[in-house]
Parts: sequence; structure tokens; C-alpha cells
Amino acid sequence: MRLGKRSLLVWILPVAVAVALGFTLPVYWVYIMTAVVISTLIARSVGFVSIQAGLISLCQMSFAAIGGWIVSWLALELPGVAFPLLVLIGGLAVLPVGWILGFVTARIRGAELAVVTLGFAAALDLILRQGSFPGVSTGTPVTPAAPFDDSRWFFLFALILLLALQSGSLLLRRTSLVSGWATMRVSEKSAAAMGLKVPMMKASAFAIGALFSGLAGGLLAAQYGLLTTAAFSPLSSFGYLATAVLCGASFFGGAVLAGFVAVLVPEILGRLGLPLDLGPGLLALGAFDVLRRGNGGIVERLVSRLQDRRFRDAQRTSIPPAQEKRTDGTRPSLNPTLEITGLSVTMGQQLLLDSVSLTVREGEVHALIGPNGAGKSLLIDAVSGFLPRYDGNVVLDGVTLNGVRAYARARRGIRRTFQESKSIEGLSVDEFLRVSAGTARRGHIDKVRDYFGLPDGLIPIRLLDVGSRRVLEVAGALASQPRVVLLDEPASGLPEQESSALAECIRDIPAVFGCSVLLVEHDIGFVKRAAARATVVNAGRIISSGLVADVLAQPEVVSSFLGKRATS
Amino acid sequence: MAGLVSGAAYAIVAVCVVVLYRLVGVLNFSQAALGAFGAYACYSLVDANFPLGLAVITGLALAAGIAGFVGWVLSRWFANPTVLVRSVISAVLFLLMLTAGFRLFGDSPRAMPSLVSDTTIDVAGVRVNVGTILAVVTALIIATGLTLVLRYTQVGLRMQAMSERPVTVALLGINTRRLTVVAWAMTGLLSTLAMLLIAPTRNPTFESMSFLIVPALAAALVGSFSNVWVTTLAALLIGAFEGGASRVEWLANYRGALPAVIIILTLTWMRRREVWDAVR
Amino acid sequence: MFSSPTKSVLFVSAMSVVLIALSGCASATPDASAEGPIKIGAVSSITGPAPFPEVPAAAQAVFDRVNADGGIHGRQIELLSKDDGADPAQASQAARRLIDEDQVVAFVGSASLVECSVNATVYAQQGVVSVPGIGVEPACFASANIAPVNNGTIQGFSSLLFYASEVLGDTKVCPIILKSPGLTEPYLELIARWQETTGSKSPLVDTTVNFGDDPTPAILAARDAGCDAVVFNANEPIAVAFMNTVKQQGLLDGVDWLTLTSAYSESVVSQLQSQGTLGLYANSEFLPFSSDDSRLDSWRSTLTQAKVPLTSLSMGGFVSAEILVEVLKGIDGPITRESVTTAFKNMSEVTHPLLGMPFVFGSDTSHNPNRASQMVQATESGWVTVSDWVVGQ
Repeated sequence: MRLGKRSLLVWILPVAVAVALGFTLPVYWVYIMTAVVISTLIARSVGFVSIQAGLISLCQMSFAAIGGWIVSWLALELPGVAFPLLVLIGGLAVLPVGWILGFVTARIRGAELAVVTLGFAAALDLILRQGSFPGVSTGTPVTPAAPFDDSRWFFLFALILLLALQSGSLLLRRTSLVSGWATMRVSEKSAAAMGLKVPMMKASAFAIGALFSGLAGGLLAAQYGLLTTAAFSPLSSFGYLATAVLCGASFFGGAVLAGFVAVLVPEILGRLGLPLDLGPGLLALGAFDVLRRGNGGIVERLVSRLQDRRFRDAQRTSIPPAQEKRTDGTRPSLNPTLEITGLSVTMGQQLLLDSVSLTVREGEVHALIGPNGAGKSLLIDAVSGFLPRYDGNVVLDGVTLNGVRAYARARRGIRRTFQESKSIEGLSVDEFLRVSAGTARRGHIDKVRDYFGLPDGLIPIRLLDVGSRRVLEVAGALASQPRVVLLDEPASGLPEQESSALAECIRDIPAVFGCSVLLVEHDIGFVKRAAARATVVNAGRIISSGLVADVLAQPEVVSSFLGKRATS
Repeated sequence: MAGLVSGAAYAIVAVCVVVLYRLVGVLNFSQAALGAFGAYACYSLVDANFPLGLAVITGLALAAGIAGFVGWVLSRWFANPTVLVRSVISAVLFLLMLTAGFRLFGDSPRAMPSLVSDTTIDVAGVRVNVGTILAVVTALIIATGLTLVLRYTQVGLRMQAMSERPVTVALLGINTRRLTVVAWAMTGLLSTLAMLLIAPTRNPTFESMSFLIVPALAAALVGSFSNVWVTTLAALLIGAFEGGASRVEWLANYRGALPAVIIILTLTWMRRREVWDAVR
Repeated sequence: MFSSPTKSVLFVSAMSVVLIALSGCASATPDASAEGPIKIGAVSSITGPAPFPEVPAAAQAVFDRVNADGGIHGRQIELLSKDDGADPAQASQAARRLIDEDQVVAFVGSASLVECSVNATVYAQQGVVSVPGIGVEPACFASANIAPVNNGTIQGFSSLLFYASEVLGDTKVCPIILKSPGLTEPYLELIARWQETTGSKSPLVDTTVNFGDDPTPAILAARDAGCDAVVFNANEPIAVAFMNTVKQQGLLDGVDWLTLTSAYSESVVSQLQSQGTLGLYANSEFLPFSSDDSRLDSWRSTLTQAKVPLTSLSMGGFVSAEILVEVLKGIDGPITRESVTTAFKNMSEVTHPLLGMPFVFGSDTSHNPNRASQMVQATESGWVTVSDWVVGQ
């Protein structure tokens, strides 16, 4: 994040304008701007949880209700305390609620999650209806302590809060949390394969969303004075979800736009004398037009278009520099890095893998070949921890991995790619490598980049072609300095030339990166180029193992690929 | 006993939601609102002195028409939307239906004639309306009927195929758009039927009818959005629970909230082994 | 990404705000309050789940009549009636716009589900009073600057309880409270006060059913407790549904059923007639509109001329507007927000033919000036007045 003089100025100017407006415009417009800030907070909350983390949530207003309740209560109990402090306490108090909700619902996905959050919202609404918000029954409104009882200073506080939160979000981008969410949104398995803890990430998404909403609720307590459940109805969560997605609230600009839309549309309708219930109709029209094209909300599409223009002429494919054939001075040692012994997997009555044993030695590229359905991907799944149950033993560097979960295995040094491409379209090359790398040093990432000849780091992955995406996935697996990488058909979908280039890259991985490779591949030419030893699997059983050339010469192996008649 | 009417309504709406979700992948929050639209249209016609039969048919047709139109719009302009876009579509549709309903139908009470004669019979000390029994039976018939239609008729099989492999089905020359429209229209019609059965016993407003979606969704959730029978049973139980829990002092005030809590816990427990989503 | 798109969005938005603000500034006439039309505001739920359009419309009808007669001290009254769609955000925006831009001198004839709570603070801060035609929320009756002309649900319920125990002579009066937000505790407090004052004991006080849910469990509980009168809160459709359930359970005769004034409408009584569920009592917070009383003639003619529906709710708008006119006439000197507020806070009682008690605003911290109701009963020939003014204690 380069904060050069120019971008600093570009930020300061609108803020200065906003502050100036806050102190010069009539009081009504200051109120409107405050309302916009509050709506922006809620829209941003939706942006985090539902757009960036992909968790459809219909209870964001409920978090606001809790925040509002706490702030109202605090304002009545501690009237002299500075109001900003009360708002902060309110927001922070809601954070654990979001965390718990995210954690508890970690295994509930998609539409089911939407319904669960709606149920939570309806339940909370019901509970809040049993009584009333603090102060309502006695008619005592929330009155912020001076100077925040003045609308202008209140607006200033709200604006500063929003900007502070935005700065916080930018800092968040330095961590790999945001990239982790983007990965998790596409494929939870990919995220776990990178060593990310998916339930934690979901919990943190909900927690941050709850924080934003809770702070908004606290501000609403002062805006309205007396809160009612009508201000936080579950229905308004629907409206905010639609508006936030329509405007593209995964970006700050999109959230601001959503805030303006939420406040100014009814305002303009009112001024024009049009009935207020045209509002949802307009929202529907907007949503229809924007969303049917399928690339996100307004601001998101704007950003994509700018990226397209910026990278139009950039190199978008990976061009690995030619590798000199490294001599066999890199004779692989005999120490086993990864030992698989007696691996058996049953599904129902069927025995899918029958006592498979395989050793990947230090410094070698070991191919796992066999016809379709032989159980190769299943073996990879078992070794990397994506199968709930298997018999047998998986040992890495002498330590057994049985019972260790997928993300933990990834952190211990087993990385894998997937057979179906799981390109994380929301990220740039650099962001992807950084989140894959975990705690590895920056220098190592550059090394991986150069080794595979990847395109410029800022290019979004969605602009890369299929082949480069596959290469990128392999690069990502290596970025974390693992002990062994399991590559599941990395060449599938690649044209001939790129395929052979990749084969050579893979061949030299142990020499360059000190990491072993277990390579699952169909393409025999690829295997011959890349691997030293091979194991052949057919119908869940090992039928041969040894040096590549030897193995490929055996008649059982050939017939397993070509059918019994074709032995020559 | 008292809650079974509600339970039957939840069941029919829930089954429609589940079926539509399986077939076209959209979680339809407006399922109850669509039914309310049809029911209110019927009652408005009755107020204007139309014969009941004609009014009912018009109401059913209107709801089927609106729902079918929505299905047509979605299949025409939204090809393969993401889960998020589908949720937004559903949310916006819900807001639209509520707004339109408030404007057209307001909240004044109106005559809601029962589709059956208004007789009551005595069942275990509580007088039960024949309409109640009819509602429950209808819910069961709909659940059975939909299961049979989906499994044994041509149209049903095509719909199931379409939900799993839309591209393949289209390549086979089957008109997926027509199937989508039919699915939407069918569920719209059935929801109206549900409302027509429930309304005479409760005289609800448009708003309260539309919000029957919440317990219906809870029932669908228990059925994992796939099992029609579990969904129906769950809906009837939710209705019965809401009625019965009012007798228990400490539960009574919160009985509306309990289903939500129970469902979250149930689901979390049920899913504890499903670490990885089958799709991803 | 926080580069160009964010910048452009922010700039565009800032510009649009400035533009709208400038247009707003241009239209706001500075200090017009001492000359030109007297501007009165109203914030009502005209769209949304439970619309009350006839309340501000009735106020408008009164002002039209007054303006046709020459206005107040030569100045016309201009009513700026805004819709809030039952959304607190809109109610807040509308009220503030009326106060800051339109410079209204008072709020009269409002009828909203949500505006009292969000605007009470603003009214107090800006020193403007509101006389709603129909106050719904508890906040309408608990604010220093708001004094509705109707009884409100709590007072109405109180008068029903008193009527049942003192006039109808029922000894086992059971309140069923259908829960709405913020009202349950006040109801329970009210019931306790009534029990103290009258010495009655209720075999059952039911609060298990939420507003809008199926009331059968509560009705059955009342039957099991042997109640001879049930007082329940409801709006129009719920009252009809409730009585339908009562009839289904065979409890129509033998028990007196009493409910709030929201049920007192033509559509409800025609539903009750077609359902065969007559005998329901309701309270009328104003002189019952269904009677032939000659004191209703002014209301009838004013509203008929303006084509406003003749409902009990519309009386709220009518009465609040006429009271405002009275107060305005009594102001010496310029009619500004300050003078109007002072006038209301220091006013002496104003009697109105449609009210059972004189109206006075006063300077208390909460106001519920109209606490009297007359009882009406649903019969074959429509609503029939069955009592004189009853005041719940």
C-alpha cells in the first residue's frame, strides 16, 4: 500500500470538503450526511460479511439493534461520559456476538445460512419486543454529552469514526485475512489447503461486520433519541443486503454509494412529492440492471473495468525461463519425507483404496499414475487431510499426521493443488501468492514468481488465461516453503508447449526449493520429463513402483492404461 | 390442536420453498407473499360480489401468473447467477411484493369466506374447524403429490434433471425456460391455496400472511432444503409447538424465538461431520 | 482498491449533496414565519402496513374551511403533510425537514406508527410542539412536547376495564394483552392500578400471545379461568379474527368481549355482522361517529365537503386542527414557533364537542389530556352507543 503524496492529497481533499460542509450547510443537511455515514457503516458491514466473505447474512441490522441497545443503556446510566466512548464500547460489545454466530454457523452454508441468520434476526426482534429500549418507557431520550449534542460535532464524530474504520480495513488488507476470505468464498477446501482455518475466518468476518453494524446502531441511538424495534426491523436487513450488493459495498466507495442511495432516494422521492413506496421499485430496477450482468455491483464493475484497461497490454501468461537441465548431481537421498503405509479407504461397501503404500523421498519427484478412477485423487485427499476417515498411516518427516486436520497438515508442510482449477478470481497474483505463502518470507515469494515466470503481481487472476492459472496454483503451493507438494494433474488444460515447460519446472523443484513432489498425472510424456520414480495404481491397488522408465515398460502397466488387448 | 392450522400453512409454503429451491436454486422469501397476493385478489373479488368459485380461480391464476412472470424474467435475464445474486433477487422480490401488497390491499379487514362450510366438530374438548382438518390433509396431499410428480412424471423428471445439469438438459432440446416458469407458477398457485385455507380461521393482514415465510423457512431448514416429508412434519410440529408452548408459563413469552434456537443447534449438530461442502 | 473509483464516487456524492443543499437553501425562505402562510407540519404513516391517510386529510379539511373564511388574522394556514412509510428513518427526516427548511410553527394532525419516538427529542430541542391527531406509540404520551388528542391504547384499555367492572358489573374481568413492543409493562401497571382502585381481581391476565399471532390459546385460557368479561387490545383485522375464534370456540354468549377503539369502524362492524359475531364492545375516544348526535354535524359537513372518509380516526385529525385554530386565534402578536409553543404550554382548557374532557397542553413532561371514552357495541344495525363518557382512572 503505497501512501505517496498524491494519494494522501487525494484522500484529504474529499474529507476536508466533507468537514467543511458539516460546518457550513444547514442543520438538516448535516443530519442527512450523518444518516449517510450511518448507512455507509451498515452497507460496509454487509460488504465484509456477504460480499467479501461470501456469507449471506440477513441479521446485520440485529447487530445494530444490540449496539443501539447497549449505547442507550450506557447513556442513561453514565450520562456524563463522552459519547464517542459509549459508541465504541457498544460496538466492541457486539463484536463477540458476531464472532460466536460466525463460529457456530461455520458448517452452515449458502441459503441455509441466510435462513439461519434470518431466524436469528426474527428471534432477536421478538425478544426486543418484549420490553422496550432503554429510556423509552420513561420518555428519556439518549442525549450525548456536549459537544456531541450539536448535530455538527456529531457529524464530525461519525465521519471520523467512519474514516478510522476505513483505515483499519486497509490495515486489515496487509494481513492475509481479506485474501483468505476471497479464497474461502470460492472454495473452502482451497483455503484449508493453504493452511487457513475456515471457521476462524468466518467468525472474524461476522465479528468485523458486527462491529461496523454495532457502531452504526450506537450512532442511531443518538440520532433518534428513543429507539424502537421498527428502526432495526429484519426487513431493513433485506434492503441493506440488496443495496450494498447493488452498489458494490466490498469497496469503501461502494459502501459510501450505498449509504447515499439508502438516504437520498427517499429524500428525493419526498421532495418530488412521489409516494415513498416507489423506493423498493427503484431498488428492484437498479438491482435488475446491475446484477444481471453478473460481475458484481456498481463500484466493483468500475474497478474491474479500470483493471482491464490498466493491464490491457500487460503480459498475462506465465513464461517460465528456460531451465538448463540440471545434472543428476541432485541425486535424491533415501530419506523418506512422506511415508504412506497401508492406506485404505472404503465408502459404504466399496473398497476404493486397498492398502496402498508409497514413499516420497527427500529431493525427488515421484509420479502417481494410473487410469481414471484408480483412486489417485482420493489418495491425495487422504494424505492432505480432506477425508474424514481412512485406515493406514500417513507420516511426514517421521511424525504421523493421522488425526491432524487439513489446515494443520498444510501448516506442517504438506501442500496440494486440486484437479479442478480453483482460481480465486477476486485476487491479484501477488495477493494469492501472499495468502498461500502464509508466514514465508517475501524473498521466497519473489523466488517462486521468477522461477515460474509469472505475470506481474498486480494483475488480477481473472485476467489470466487458463494455463497460467494452473501454473499459479502450483506456484502458490510452493510459496509456503513446504516439505512436500502434492500436485493433482497440474498440466490438465495446458497446451503442449506450456505443458512441457511446466514439466521441466516441476522436475527441478526439489533442487531449487528443497521440497519433494508427489505428482499425479495422466500425460505420460509429462511424467517422463518431470519425475524420477513412479508408482502405478489401478482400481485402488498398487501394481508397480520404481524408476519411471522401468515402470512404464512393464506390460501390466501398459495394459492397465490401454486395456488388456493392447499389450505389444 | 390450535396450532395445526398454522402448521399446515407453514408446511405448504415450506414445501413450495423447498421444491423451488431444488429446481431453480432460488430461495424464495416471497413464497408466502405470493400466496397472499392471490388470496387477497380472491377476497377483493368476493367483496365486489363475484361468486366465490370464480374469485378463487382468479386468485389462483393471478398468483400463478405473477410467479410465472418472475420465473420468466429470471430465466431470461439472469443466466447462472451466483448465490449472492440469487439471494439479492429474492430479497428485492420480497420487498416489492410487500410494498405492492400494502398499497393494493392495505390492512382493513375483509370477508374471508372459507372454502368449506363453516362447521365445527368436537375433538378432545377443543372445537376444531373442519377447515383445520382440511388444511392439514391438504398439506399432506401436496407433499405426497409433489414427490410423486417429481419422481414419476415426465415434467417432474425433466425438472429434476434441470436442477442438476441445466446445460445438459438444454442441449437435449428441453426447454429449460418453460420448465422454470412452470415450477414458479406451480408453487405460486399452491401457496395461494395454502393461504385460502388458512385465512378464514385467522383473518390475517397481508403483512402477517407474508411473514408466515419465517416459520416455513424454519421447517424447510430442518428438512435440509431437500426432504419434503421431514419439512412437512417439522412445519406441523412448529405450529403445534407454537400453540402448545403458550400453556407453559416461562416458555410462552419466547416461544416464537425457540424454534430459531432449536434449529440452529439441530443444524450445527447435523452438520458436524460435513466438514466440506459437497459442492466445493 | 481505494484509488480512482472511490475518489470519483466521493466527489460525485459530495457534489450532489452540495447541489441538493443549494437547491434546498434556495427554496427555504428565511424568517417567513411572521408573514405569509402559517406553516403547520404533520408526519403520518400514509403508506406502509397500516396507513392512516384520513387523519392529516381531516386536518387539511379543517384548514381549508378556515382559510375560506379568511384564515387567522388574515394569514392562511398551510399544512405540510409528509409520509413516513412507517419507517423511523423517514419519520425523522421528514420532521427535521419540516422544522429546519419549512420552518413550521407546530405539528398538528400527525398519525404515525413510528414518529413520536424518533422525533420527541427534536421537538423538545427545537422548541416546537406536536398535537397528533392519533398517537399510537407509548412515546406519544410520554414526551414533554407531544400531546395527542386521542386516548391512546393504555387509557382506552383503562376505560374498558372500568366499564366492564363498574358499569356492566362483571366480576371476573380478564385482560388479554396481545403483545406489541413497549406496551406490555404499561398495560400491566394499568391493570394493577385498576385492580387497586376497583377492588376487582382478575382470574387471568394473559400476555402469552403476540400481536398478530393466533389468539386461540389465550381465548381458551380465558374460558378455562371462567372469565365473564375479556378486555383485549386489537386493531381492525385482529378484532375480527379474534371474534371469529371466539365464535368458533362457542364463547360468544355468556362472556362480554371488549376491545380498543381501532375496532370501531364500519368495515369491522360489517365483518362482524357477516360473521355473526355481534355483541363486541369498543371504546370511542371521541363522540361516537355512528350516532345521530347533532354535535357531529360540523365534522360531517367539513369532511364530506373535502371528501375525507368519515371514520373514528379522522376525528383525531379534525379535533387537533380545530384546537390549533382556537389556540392560534388566542395569540396576541406575531404567530411564530415561539409564540405558538408558549401559547400551547400556557393555554387554558379548551372544550370541544367531540371530546369527553377539555383539552389542555400544559408544561408537564408528558401529556395525555383526553382520557374519556364512550362505549359502543356492535349490533345488527351497526355500532350503537351504550354509555356516556367513561374515564379510566
